Amino acid sequence: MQPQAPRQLVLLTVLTALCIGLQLSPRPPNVEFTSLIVFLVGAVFGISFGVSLAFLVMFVNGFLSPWGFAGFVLPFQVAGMVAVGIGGGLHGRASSGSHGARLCVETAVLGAFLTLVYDMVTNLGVAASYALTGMPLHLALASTFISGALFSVIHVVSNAAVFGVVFVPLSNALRRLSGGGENWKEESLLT
Amino acid sequence: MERRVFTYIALALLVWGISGTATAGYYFVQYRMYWNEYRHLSNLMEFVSLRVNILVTYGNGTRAWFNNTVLPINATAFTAILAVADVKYEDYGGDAGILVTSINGLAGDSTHGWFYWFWDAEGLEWVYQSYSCAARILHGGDTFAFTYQSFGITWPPPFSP
Repeated sequence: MQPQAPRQLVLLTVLTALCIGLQLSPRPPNVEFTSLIVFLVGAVFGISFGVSLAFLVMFVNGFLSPWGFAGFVLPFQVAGMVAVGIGGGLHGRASSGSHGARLCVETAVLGAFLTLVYDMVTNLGVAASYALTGMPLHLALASTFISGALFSVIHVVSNAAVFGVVFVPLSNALRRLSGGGENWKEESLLT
Repeated sequence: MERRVFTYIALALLVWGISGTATAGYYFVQYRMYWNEYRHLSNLMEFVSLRVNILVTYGNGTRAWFNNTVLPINATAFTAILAVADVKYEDYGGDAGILVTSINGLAGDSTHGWFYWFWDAEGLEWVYQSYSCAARILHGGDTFAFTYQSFGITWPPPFSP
């Protein structure tokens, strides 16, 4: 096992707990920070880390969500959040030349796009669950996308704002925090 | 402009387009839903209301039609004109009933006053009403007129339907 692995495992666990805590906390409908954290982790630690966090968070959330067991929609929620993690990883690779306001705008646009992708994938899952009950698929798709439109707009706009404002300072802080031995003093806790 | 900028602009426009389309669909469905509700309520209202056509002529060639005015069942010609115009009246009580003295600021004087007529749909003519407008119970589809004219009523009335 690589020397970084235990540290990353701890980080994955802590961030998963943070995301679940945020998911369970009272908040306006469709305003959430899980996708930001998954995107951020993907950008800072790579695609595999982002995907792992996305899978773990949405899997646990599917069982503990205040809305109840996600059931048939759970794999779609996981897939949608995995897309956010992959997007974060790709953004982390591609944004090395960007900084400042431009990076904020790029991240906001990407956040809005990935949020829309997440919403569309989960709406697809809801529509599929309707279709399983006998509703024609095209009708299930139309009713799901249209009835969820306003919630989706709230989700997209709020995430665009959150990604644009929070991502850059948070990613800088996370990079410094995980910078290696100089930040992580290897000494006994019992000093 | 570099390709990367175009990519992000395209992404932003894509998000805008999809979200906008979905929102437009949402509001279209809402519109259809409320329109159907409105039609349903209108149909229900037909049982507790009626529609009449009201004409007001001011004696100088000016006419105002209030077609399809919705009134509650048991409405009278008096409550109908009250619903569409600024009316002053005197209540003489008993059989004499209410007399309209002014409509929209045009008041009667020693030579002119307000009269009301009913359209006889079978005889195809205006019929002068010699009793109080408050005594005339309306029915759905009725057409009647308030005219400002000389006390010496002449036939035909100074207007046509």
